Amino acid sequence: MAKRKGFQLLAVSALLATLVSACSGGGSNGAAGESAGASSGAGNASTKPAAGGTAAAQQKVTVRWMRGENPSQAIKTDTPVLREIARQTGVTINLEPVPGSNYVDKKRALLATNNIPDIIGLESKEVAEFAGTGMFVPISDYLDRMPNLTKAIEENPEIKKLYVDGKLYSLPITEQFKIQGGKTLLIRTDILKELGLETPKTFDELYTVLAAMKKAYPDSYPWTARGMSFMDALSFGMGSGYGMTYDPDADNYFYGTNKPEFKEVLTYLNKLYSEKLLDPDFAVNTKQNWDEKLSTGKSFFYYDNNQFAVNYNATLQETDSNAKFDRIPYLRNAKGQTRGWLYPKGWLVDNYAISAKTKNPEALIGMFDWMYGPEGTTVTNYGVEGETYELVDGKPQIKADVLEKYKTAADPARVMMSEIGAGLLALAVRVDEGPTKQVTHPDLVRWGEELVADPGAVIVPGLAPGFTSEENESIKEITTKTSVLEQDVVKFIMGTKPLSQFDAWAGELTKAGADNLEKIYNEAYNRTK
Amino acid sequence: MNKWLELLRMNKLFIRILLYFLSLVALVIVIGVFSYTKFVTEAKREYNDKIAMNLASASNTVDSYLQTIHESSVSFFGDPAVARLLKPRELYTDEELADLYLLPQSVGRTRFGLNRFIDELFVYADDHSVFTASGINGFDAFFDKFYVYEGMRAADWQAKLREGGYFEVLKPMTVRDSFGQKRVVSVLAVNQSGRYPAAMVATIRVSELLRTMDVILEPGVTRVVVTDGGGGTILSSDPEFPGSESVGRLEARGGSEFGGSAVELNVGGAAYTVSAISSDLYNWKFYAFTPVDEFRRQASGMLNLIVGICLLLCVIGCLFSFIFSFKIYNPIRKLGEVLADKGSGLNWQEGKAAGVGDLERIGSGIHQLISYRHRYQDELQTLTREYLDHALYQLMNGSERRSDQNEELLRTMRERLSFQEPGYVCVVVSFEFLGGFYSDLQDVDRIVIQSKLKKVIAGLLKDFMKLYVVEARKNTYLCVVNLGEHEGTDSIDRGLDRLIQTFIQDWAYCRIHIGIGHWREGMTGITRSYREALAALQTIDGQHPFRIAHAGELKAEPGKHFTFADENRLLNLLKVGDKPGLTALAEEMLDVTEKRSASFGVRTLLLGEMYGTALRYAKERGIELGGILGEAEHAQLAGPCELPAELQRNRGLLVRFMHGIVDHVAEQHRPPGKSSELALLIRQYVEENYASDLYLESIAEQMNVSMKYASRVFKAKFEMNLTDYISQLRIEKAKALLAESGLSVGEIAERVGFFNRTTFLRTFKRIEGVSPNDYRKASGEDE
Repeated sequence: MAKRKGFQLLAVSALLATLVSACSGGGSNGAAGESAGASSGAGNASTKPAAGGTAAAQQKVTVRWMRGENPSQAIKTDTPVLREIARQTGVTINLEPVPGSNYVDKKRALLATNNIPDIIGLESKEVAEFAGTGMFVPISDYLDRMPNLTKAIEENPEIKKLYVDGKLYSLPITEQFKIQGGKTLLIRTDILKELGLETPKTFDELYTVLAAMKKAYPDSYPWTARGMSFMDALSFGMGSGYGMTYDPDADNYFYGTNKPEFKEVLTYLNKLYSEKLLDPDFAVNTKQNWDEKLSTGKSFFYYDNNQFAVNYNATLQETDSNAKFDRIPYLRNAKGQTRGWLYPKGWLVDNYAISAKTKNPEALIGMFDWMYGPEGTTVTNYGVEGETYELVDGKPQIKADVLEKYKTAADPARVMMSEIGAGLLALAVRVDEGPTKQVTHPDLVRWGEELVADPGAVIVPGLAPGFTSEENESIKEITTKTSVLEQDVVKFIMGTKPLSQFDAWAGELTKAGADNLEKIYNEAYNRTK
Repeated sequence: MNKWLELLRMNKLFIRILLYFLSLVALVIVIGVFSYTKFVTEAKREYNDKIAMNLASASNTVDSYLQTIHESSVSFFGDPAVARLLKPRELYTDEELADLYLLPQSVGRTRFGLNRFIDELFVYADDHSVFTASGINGFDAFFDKFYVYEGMRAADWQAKLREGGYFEVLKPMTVRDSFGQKRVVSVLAVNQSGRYPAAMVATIRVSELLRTMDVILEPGVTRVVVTDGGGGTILSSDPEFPGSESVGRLEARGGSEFGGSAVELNVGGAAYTVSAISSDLYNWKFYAFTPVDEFRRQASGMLNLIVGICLLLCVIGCLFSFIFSFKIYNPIRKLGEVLADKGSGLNWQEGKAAGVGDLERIGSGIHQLISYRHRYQDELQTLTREYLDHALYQLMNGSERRSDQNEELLRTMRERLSFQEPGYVCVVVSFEFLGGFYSDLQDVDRIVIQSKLKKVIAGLLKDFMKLYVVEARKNTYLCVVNLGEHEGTDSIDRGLDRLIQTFIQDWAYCRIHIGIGHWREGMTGITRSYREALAALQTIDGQHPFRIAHAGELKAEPGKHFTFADENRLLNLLKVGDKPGLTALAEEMLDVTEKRSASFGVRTLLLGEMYGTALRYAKERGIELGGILGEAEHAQLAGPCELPAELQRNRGLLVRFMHGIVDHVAEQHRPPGKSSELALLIRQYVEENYASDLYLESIAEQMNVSMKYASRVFKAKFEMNLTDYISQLRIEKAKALLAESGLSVGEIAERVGFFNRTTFLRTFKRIEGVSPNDYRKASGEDE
């Protein structure tokens, strides 16, 4: 009997032990279970058998990819493009978009703390600044495995400007097909017609036209701008330059702001300003405010990116079907030159860098080269064959039903691209603007063709020459001084600083090292020539 | 059903055992319930602590956001460029207009510090323009197109500038901008101290605020409601949840006092546990509502586990209980069955009515069985002993035995005495008690000594040989020793030597003569060996106190002179009562031996054997020997003859003895007394004669029974030993005398039949536990 009792006691204590362990284990078990579930889920995702032909040697990796978000094209984190990349290259991308307004701060913080994700969108100057720290994978070391990138570099030698101390640390955004854009002159042709004005061919004629417009619409400021972004194109057009400018004729760089020609630009703008032909807020307008003025009939002319005009026309034509901004050819300047300002090939300022800390750089190198190649270019710009695009005469085209879906959207092209996850503003590194061309306004396509055909068409370099870090230091030192002085440009235009002081001011700029700046630029440029 | 009930009743004991075990299983359930309750309470407490902690941290974070905005606004308005440029548009000089780009830069710098959590930052000082970090915006365009508040128009913002407080947190509103639509909380700081009122507005996305409570909200069950000082809802993580109403009810209950601990509240029919935290800085209150069901849900997993374990243990427990009960019950049941069986001879079933527990009854039953067994074992032993004794008597007397009787005896000896050897040696030990024995020893002690003699002999010799002791005659014992053919008799000699050594100090009381026979094979060998031993005994001089004689010293082969046939003839003649025949036989036998010129001793032996046969016959018939021959004559007959005259005399005595037997048989003077009568007679004799020496030996003789038999009969009747009875009787009488008379102890001892005082004192003390004197004192006090 005693023995039996003993057994029962044993059973009871066993129960107690079980309970105690169950109690204490309850929480942690649950957590462990969850994490196990999560990891197995991730495992499933990455081990999903790939259907693509290139799948055989694929390594399954999951990476973080951070880039800035342009307000006009929201970045979605689950798109056909991302799925297709994962399927074809084995790389699962966790996209981390950062709103454009915060992105500069964000990436600086990450760079400064060497805490960047696997792939990060950077501007070329940031790459140059931080390349020395060794936080990026040197892309050029892998070029033998990147036939497609090698080909892209051969096509666009300017990429060589991205080399920092002999090595390429970033993946530039190149172009396959681009609707040519540029800073050009857009004017309300309906008002020209209404007032019986001729299309201006010189800057003086432009002044006359603007003055006539002001006369007809006294409340308006015929010319508006969004800060100083028009200055480079305008100065270049007028035969001068704003800051460091590339002279295609001399094939060198010069600092335009302290040259006598620049005084003419200031004189011209001062005249417009004082006659209220130029928006008094031109220097401080937000882009939205500027858009607002142009699309509500408060202003009739701008010298900037031609793409915006399509949207203004759409807004304007809601109330006035005749209203229309149209491009006019580049003007002839006092020297008799015609100098346009066409955007460079590719988007070489925008780059992606791979973190040196990434676990599998080879896989990412492979993926990027695929993206530079024909297959990857099609996928990153058109999405998935059969789902978002089809081949017409061997060329990809977005499917009609997809286009139909976004027809009514405010900005059909951008919304569509956002949904597909395609294009420049998503993660294409070789951009084909074919889809945009399919959707976008015919004007834009026409302007693109006209721009290329314009006699004054000059494609400006996308990048400054590749500097050494010492040169960068010197440049920084000089520009700190010059940028303070350059702020007086607004004062000259507004007349609060008399033009008579221009020579003294130009002297100060020279003293601040403008000449030196030219020298550094040209030396660097000659190195990469 | 009835059948089951019947079964149940029958197995009451089984069910009882099962229930004992099952009561232990109940413990499992108690532990299970305890664990579950503890777990749920613990989980609830932990969860509430966690929520309260996270709520506090969220409120701290939100406070720090607001504080940062506040501090930023202070430094923003303190910026000289802002002080100079943030003013109504119409007041700008050209210079200021040219420097206007500085203002967005200031906004940008301020924004930089707030970027972490704000959505937008804008400032304004009139109804003309709104500045953001990226530049100037038209006032109306900004609020109507770029950053559109639902529920606040441009004019409302204008009004805020005029009448706005110094620092104000606006309720959450939906805002649309180029990025889309979101809900934001706007924090408005108005600089009233400058020359021109100016406003800075920072907007925080609601989602950003809720993000601070991610830890709380993540499981998706808890709702968070944030109210401002006035009780207005600022935030609610779940728009469906009637947060403000609940908070209102909570506050009505004095809920703000509940501090860290949680309170339960019923919202929309469901019970919620509410934790609340008050932020110190801006007097916001954070409430977390967690459905009580959630704890139950969390606990349900635990409940299932506990129930599962308990169930499993219960099942195992029940199973084991059943098995154990079954294993314990079955033997008990069988015991009960055995006991209840009528064949067991116990009246076991009758006990049931008394309501005594089954187990107790079984216990008493077993106890009974054991006592029965002891009794029967005793009886069996007695019977065996008697059987052996009887059989050996027969052998001693050489009476004709059937072969099956012999086999039976052989078997019994083998089993009972472990006699394995084929042959035997008989040793006859004869005690002769001398006068001192009778005069110096108390009668009771004499009986004890004499009755124990057999055991003493067996006890002393058993270490040396396998033997069985029979009382052959009064004070004469036959030891049948089982021996192998070639085993020497050394061990016998050594044993006998020891026997003699034991008694050697008692030469004054007794003589011990021992005769040893030859080794003889088989049952008949016992008879032969016995005769040889007897013959050897005859050769011993009666005057020697201790003497051993070996049969080997005799030349004759006595067995040949008195065969079984002869014995049969003798017995037949006795039965028939043929006196002349008997006389003739005695003559014939002696003549034959004489003719064979057998030794004198042999002829004596022959006489002795004939005497023995007659004696046995007489005993079997219960004939009183004293009536035929005097004691001396018997002694002469049994004793050795040394002279021819004695032989002749003994022959005459024998013939007379046999004739006397024949006469007695013819008389059949009395029927065999019943044993109880005998016992009563003995008691009567004792009660009449206790005061003097009882010569109990003589009682037996008078009644024609052995002392042993008398003792046994007495014990069977009165359930106590005769000697004990005698002693008790004497002590009773002594007690009476002690109490009533003034006689001395010595005198009383003598009166009640004790030889000496010492024996009296010893006996008195043994029976009464006190000395006679103490007894006398005690009884005297009683009176």
